[in-house]
Amino acid sequence: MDDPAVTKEADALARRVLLSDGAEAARLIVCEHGGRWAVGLRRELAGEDVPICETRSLASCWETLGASPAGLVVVELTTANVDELLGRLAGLDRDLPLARVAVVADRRLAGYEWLMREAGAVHFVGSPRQLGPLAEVARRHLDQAPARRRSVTEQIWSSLPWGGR
Amino acid sequence: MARQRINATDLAKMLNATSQPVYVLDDEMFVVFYNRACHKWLGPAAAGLLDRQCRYHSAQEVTGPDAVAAGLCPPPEVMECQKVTATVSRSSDEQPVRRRATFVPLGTSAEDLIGIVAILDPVDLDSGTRADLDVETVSPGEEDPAGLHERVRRFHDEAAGRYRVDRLIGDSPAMRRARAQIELAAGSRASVLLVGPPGCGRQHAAAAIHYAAHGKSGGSLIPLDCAALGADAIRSKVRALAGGDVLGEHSARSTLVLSHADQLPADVQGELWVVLFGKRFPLRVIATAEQPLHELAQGGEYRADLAASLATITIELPPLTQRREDLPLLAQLFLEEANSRSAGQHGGFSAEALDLLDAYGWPGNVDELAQAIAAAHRAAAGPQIGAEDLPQRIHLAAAAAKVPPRVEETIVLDEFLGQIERELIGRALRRAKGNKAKAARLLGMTRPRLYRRLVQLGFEKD
Repeated sequence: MDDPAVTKEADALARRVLLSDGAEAARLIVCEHGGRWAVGLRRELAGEDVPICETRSLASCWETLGASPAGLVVVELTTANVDELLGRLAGLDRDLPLARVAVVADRRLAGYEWLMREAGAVHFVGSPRQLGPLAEVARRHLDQAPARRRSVTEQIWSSLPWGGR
Repeated sequence: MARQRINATDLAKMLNATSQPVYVLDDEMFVVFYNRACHKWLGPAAAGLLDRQCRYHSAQEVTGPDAVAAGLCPPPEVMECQKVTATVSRSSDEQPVRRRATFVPLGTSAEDLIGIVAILDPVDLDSGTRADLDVETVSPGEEDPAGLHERVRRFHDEAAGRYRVDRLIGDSPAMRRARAQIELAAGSRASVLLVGPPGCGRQHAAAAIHYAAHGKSGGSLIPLDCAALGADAIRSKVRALAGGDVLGEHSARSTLVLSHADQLPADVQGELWVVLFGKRFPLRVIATAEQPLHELAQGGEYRADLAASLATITIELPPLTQRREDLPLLAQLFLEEANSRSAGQHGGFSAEALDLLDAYGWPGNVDELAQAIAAAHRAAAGPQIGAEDLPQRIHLAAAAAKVPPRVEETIVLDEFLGQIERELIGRALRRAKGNKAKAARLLGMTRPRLYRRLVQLGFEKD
């Protein structure tokens, strides 16, 4: 087997290679019709520098994710979007390998948890009282998201005082 | 006053007299009664229904009274003593026939629940004879057991085909060995550790083992991402699966996949070992990792007992660079998959494109190859994928390979210092709103010196 240090470096390189060409930093993208899940997550993540973006449809959500391909999506499952969500999860590994999807749902759809996990959702929440663990998933994902590597000169430049132009 | 006596026969007569189908379950969801109207609705399928247990089934081979009972299964909230309206179904020759049902729990809490009474509407949902029973009037978010069963069945059908062992493509010795090991693992219930770099196909191999063992009629494949989930989330899900209630009798044919098991938080490793291996855990366990867990254990970074228990069988999946002979075959497979998903059709690759693919380092392995081919498919206009259709990074890597790599970043010091000085003076002037005395103070220099530097750097004329 390869040297673990080499393996880790290769992994980091793979993630840099896949996050390229002007992609934005990872974001937390919430997709729901109302706003209660986003409100709950903002409350859980209050005071932390977590960029949260809200969308109202799976189409616009995936478009936003395309611009931030290492993001974490929190999707509200409804009986209306089950099949579309399953389809999008099926293509996630292929199209957006750095992204992750968590599913939130009314408890009446709690029975879908294991199907959603099997389809590729990293986490499933069936109650607003379970937002704590979901916020933890978000923190871990965004902490692990790759960042573009900066050169020494870029690092010095970015540390100059009094702001840029 | 004489005590009122409840006559079971009279009660049955009352229930048989109504045109609404009614059935009764005990606290373990066994059917203990169904009335004449229910028998009429179910038809011949009602034979043998008494004493059947209502459990969700997604397996295709479940037929007869078990399948009938599955269609009558109440939502889980009823077991918590909540009155719920949901849909139930019965199979027909063409498609399931559904009715709305009101489930009335007999009890005041989940602990003293003694049974459930199900009262069905007198008309089918799909008959269209009563507008207020039209499916659109069902509240959004209302659980639909029949819909979930069907979706699970379709999902497993498709997944069983996608994750066949023979779809782990490759004629290289490493892949032939891996396929043989996967088929061996499918024939046992031993825990399996799949080791390999990111993108080499660990998840696919785990699914291949599961579906080779159980086919499409098996249970569920439950992934838990140990890197993404915190200790609490992992702990709660594994405990829920250990209880056996989550998946019911499907547990024995289901598989738990601990992805990135090498990143399992230390504070949950001990409990996980006890739950998964200290007691009888109902699911088969497969783990994936980037390096063998026993190596981490030797370095004191992992519990040795858990490392050993997760790796009864260890299967190593090679990086793509160790199986370059498989590249053309894999590329063609991914191209054909891309063709099947889109209107654009491309037959193959130009020789130059294949050369570039072969020269690239593939740090993301097979997953990265799949993404690159998908991107090339979108970009290509001709019948073949040409070199110009491949992603830029593959071209850059080929170009970089022709020049010696620069080991260290070099800085031309005088030039860089000059740039910094110009930038800082400019920022200080803007911050001071053009006031040179103030700017000089910000920069820690005298005003005359600032004036001299402004002239020397070309900010001002002498």
